[in-house]
Amino acid sequence: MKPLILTFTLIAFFAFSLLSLSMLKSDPPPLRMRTPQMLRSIHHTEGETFTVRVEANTMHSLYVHEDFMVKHELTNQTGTMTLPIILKDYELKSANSESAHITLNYQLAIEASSEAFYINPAYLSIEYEDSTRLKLPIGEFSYHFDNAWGSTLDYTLSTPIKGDYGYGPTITGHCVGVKSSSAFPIELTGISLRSKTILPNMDYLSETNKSIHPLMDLNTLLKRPFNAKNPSVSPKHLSLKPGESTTFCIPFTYKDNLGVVRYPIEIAYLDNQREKRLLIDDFPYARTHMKTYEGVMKDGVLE
Amino acid sequence: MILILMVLTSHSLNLMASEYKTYEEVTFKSSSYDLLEDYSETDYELAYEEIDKRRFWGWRTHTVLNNVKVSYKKETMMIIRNEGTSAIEKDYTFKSKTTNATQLSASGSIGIEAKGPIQSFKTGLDSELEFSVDSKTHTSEEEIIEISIDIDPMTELKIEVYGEGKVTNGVGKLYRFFRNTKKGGWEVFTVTSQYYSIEKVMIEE
Repeated sequence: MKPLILTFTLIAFFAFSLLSLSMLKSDPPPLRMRTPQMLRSIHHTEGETFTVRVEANTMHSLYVHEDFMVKHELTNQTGTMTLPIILKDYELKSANSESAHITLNYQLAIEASSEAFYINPAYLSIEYEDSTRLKLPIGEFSYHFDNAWGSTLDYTLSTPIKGDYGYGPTITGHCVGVKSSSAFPIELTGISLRSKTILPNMDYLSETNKSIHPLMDLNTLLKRPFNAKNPSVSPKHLSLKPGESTTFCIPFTYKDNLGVVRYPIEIAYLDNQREKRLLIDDFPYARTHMKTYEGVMKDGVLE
Repeated sequence: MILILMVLTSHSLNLMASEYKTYEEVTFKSSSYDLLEDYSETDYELAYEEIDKRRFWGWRTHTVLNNVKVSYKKETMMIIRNEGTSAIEKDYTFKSKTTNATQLSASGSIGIEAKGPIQSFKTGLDSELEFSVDSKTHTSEEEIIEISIDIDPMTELKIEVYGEGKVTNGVGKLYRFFRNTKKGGWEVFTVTSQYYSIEKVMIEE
C-alpha cells in the first residue's frame, strides 16, 4: 500500500510542479519601453517635425498602441516645464516575438515666434486613457527661433564627420566652408550647436585645403588626435581678410554619451568689432540608426 | 529680371530597394573584394568549385564575402539653382524617409521577389542563407525638415550623400533529383549609415 501512496504523491507533486512552471511561463514579462538618448537641437520653422523611436519588449500591451494614447508633451524631470507637441505620425512594427519598434513623429504645437526652450534631460510624456503616464527620457532638447542671419559671412560647405565613440555611430565633428563679403577683417569667435552637452571644441579648430567628405578621419583632418571628452581650455580664433574664403574643421566635445544627427550651426564672429552671427539651419546630417537601435538606451517609467 | 531656377522645392532623402547598384562609388578596404556585378568568369568558376557536390534536393551555397564593410558615395543631388542676379532666401521642405535598409541582387538564374518593401531570393534560397533574418529587416520612417537657405546669384546648392554598409555575397546551385536546375550569384547589401554634406558652388557660365 505504502509504495502506491508514494507513487501517487510523486505523480501529484510532479503534476503540480509542471502546472506551476507552465503558469510561470505564461506570465508576460513586465512592459519595458526604451529609446536612444539623442540631442535634438531645432531651429524652429513652422510645421517642422521630429521623431522619437521607442523599442518595446512586446506588441501586446495597450501602452504601445496609438489608440490608447491621449496626450503627448515634452517635459523636464520634475514636470515644471512642458512643451506641447502634436503626434503627426505613428508606426508600430514587430521586429520579432520579443520586441516592437514604435516610431513617433511629433510637431511642436507652438508659434514659430515663441521663446527659446531648453530641457536637459528631456522626457517624452505620454498620457493614456486609463490616466497612466509614460515618462521616457529622450536626451537633450533645444529649440530656438530667430532670424539672426549673418549678412557678411556665408557658408559654402557644411559637412559632418562621422565616427564612433563606442556606443554606436555618431557625428564627431563638423567642417564648414565660409566666405566673407565684408569690407573689413572678420574674426570667428565661437561655434555652437545650441547644445549644452555637445560643444564644438575651439582648441582644435583647424583650417584645411583638402576636399572634405563625411567619411574622412577626424584626427587626420585635425592633424592631431582628439578625445571626445577633451574640454576646451584655450580656444582658437580664426581671421578672414576682406572677401577671403576658408574651410575649417572642428571636433565635438561630448559631456554626455548622446547621439546626434540633426543640428544647427551658429558661428559667432566680429566684423569691424561688431558682433554678428551666421546661422546654418538645422539639417539631418546623418541617418545612423537604419537597421538597429543603437546608442545609449534609457528606459521609460509608467506612473 | 530675377531668374530663379528651383530644380526641386521639396526633396526626399530616400533609400530605395536595390539602388546600391546605381551608387557613384562603392569602395572596399581591400582591392581584392568585389561586388557581384564585378565578378569575373574565373571568380564564378572558383566559387562554383566549392559547391560541386550534387544533392538530391535543395540549395548548395558558398559565401565569398561575409558582412564585409564598404563605403559608398551616391549620386550628388542638386537641390536649388539660382541663375538670377539677386540672392534668394527661402524655406525648403526636406522629407527624410527610409524605406529599406537591406537590398538584394542576383545573377544567373537566381531570382528576387518583393512583398511590399521586403525583398527575398526566390525558390527558398533566402531561408538557406544565414542572413535571412537580416534581409527581412525593414524600417520605414519619415521626418519633415524645414530648412532656411540663402543662395547667392549664379550659385547652386547640392547635397552629397556618403555612407557605409556591409556586403555579403556568394554563389548558389539549386538541385532537383540530383539535377542542377538553377545557378548564379547572390548578394545582400545592408546600409548601416548615411551622411549628408551641403555644398554651395558657383555656376560656371
